[in-house]
Amino acid sequence: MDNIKIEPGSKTPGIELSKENGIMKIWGRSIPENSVEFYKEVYEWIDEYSKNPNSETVMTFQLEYFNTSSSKCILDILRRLEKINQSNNSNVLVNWLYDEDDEDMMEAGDDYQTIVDLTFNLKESAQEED
Amino acid sequence: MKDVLSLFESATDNKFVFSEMEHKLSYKGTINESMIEKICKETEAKLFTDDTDKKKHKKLFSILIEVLQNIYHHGIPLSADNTVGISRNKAIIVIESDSQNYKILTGHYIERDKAVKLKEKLEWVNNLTQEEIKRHYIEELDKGKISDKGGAGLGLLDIARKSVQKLNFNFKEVAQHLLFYEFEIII
Repeated sequence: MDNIKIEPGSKTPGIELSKENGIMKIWGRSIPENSVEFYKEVYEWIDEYSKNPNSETVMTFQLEYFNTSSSKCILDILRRLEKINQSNNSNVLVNWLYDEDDEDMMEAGDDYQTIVDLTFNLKESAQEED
Repeated sequence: MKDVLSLFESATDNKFVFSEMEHKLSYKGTINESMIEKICKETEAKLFTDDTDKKKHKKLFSILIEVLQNIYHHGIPLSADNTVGISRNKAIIVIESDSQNYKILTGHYIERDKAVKLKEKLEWVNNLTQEEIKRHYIEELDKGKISDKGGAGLGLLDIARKSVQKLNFNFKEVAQHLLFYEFEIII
């Protein structure tokens, strides 16, 4: 299936989705006014991926901040991953990375962990991972 | 709380005003996508010169975006009364800091029925403990859906969660169907 690679912008995050490389990553800032439009492509990719997922699925989030409409889209992504995990076709892990001392972002990861039934790895990252 | 309506009335349209001494930036004008971006850039350039407070800057930034996008999404009424000449989405934003806190002040017109609902929400949020705010935020995120205006109803809870103190607000009478909404967030 096709890969997605979108560079981060001033309002939208970087996206990298590749089934063959097992890379699923969203990073940067997510503050678009119309977040549903932006994330539509990501939903579609995950839906396609879910038909034949890798045995291990790792989604990494490394966000600086996001607006509340993005927060709902992030949840929608996590719910899709939750379905993949529940179907037993794949083991899903979510890496939730946040800047040193960024309590707000750490709490956000914690919130999501409360809402969805997935394994989360909440981790401070001193530098941006590449 | 400051008299934001007076600030609004005396401010020049579409002009950034920065006071180095008071460490204060203000802008009055139409809030749209490109203006939100400009306000953020200007805030970064003029107020975030001290790198050591990076954590607070981030918090302020994220609240500022939320507040501006709320104004943008919910809109400001077109006045039926042409003599008042209120145009959609015109608001005043003031961002200032002292040795302890940052403050964001906003002011714009609002229709009476919206004002009534908003006032209820603000009073409700102000009566919650931090734990309760967090719980309601998660509940709303979990069950809520994005309204047709693009927000998730989470905005106010998010702002309350991030700010240090209670939200300050005022609704000033302007006309039969119109009030002026003043909002202050301390970070």
